[in-house]
Amino acid sequence: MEDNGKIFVVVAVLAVIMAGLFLYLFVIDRKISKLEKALKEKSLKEQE
Amino acid sequence: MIKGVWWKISALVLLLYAVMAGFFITVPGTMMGETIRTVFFHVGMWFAMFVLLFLSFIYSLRYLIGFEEKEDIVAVEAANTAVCFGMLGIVTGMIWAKNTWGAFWVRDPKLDGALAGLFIYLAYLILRASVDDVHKRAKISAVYNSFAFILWMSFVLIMPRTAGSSIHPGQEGVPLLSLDLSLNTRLVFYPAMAGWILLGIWIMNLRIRLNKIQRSTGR
Repeated sequence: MEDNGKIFVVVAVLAVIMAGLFLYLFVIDRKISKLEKALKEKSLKEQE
Repeated sequence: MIKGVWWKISALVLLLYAVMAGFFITVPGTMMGETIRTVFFHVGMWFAMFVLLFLSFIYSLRYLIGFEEKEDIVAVEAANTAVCFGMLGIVTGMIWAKNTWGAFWVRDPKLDGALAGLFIYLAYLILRASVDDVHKRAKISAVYNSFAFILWMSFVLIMPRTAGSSIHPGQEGVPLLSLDLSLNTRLVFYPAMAGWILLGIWIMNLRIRLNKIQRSTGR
């Protein structure tokens, strides 16, 4: 596999894709958390 | 449902490790050659699918005990995520099959079973979509789902083994333990599987939370 010593290029590409996709998931996760918080505050206000 | 961020970070670390070590290690010269590396990714789809379907099954049973809406939400979103992983499992398998067996699809108990298993869960999702009443939908689909998981296991895990004619790798003896992997390969394989499972659970978790937000805002 490391015949021409360039496999690290492929690995770097895959690692960046992996990290990028995970970063995206973290961002989505945070967005949903914010929505949940906003909804909670709204329902608390309605109860008052 | 699942709190904390540590398991999300572990998923990232495990999969980054799989992507890197998966290509840097040397693999033994078997009939599969370099394509053995597919095992870190293709099989991960099925591990994630299996765990998600198992969760879906458990939560459907829990729904049938208490009839709580939140259990039904977990059941459906686990199945939704599982179907996504299952489709990726089929497609990645087809690419490997074209190279190894010369065709995208061959008549084989493992392949046909995996496809039938996917159809079982597509039927589950269609069944849900066809019932308008929320409670009726949850009840009917929970009953279907408890049978679906048993059927899926027999199609994907049991029948290909008992048939004895599958050419798909890893169909002899005890699942996992009989996998013909070298030590090097195992050191990447198990962490990779854990990473895929955690990733699947994370995506399911996001879907569950979105589903709850949708329901509480009246859509």
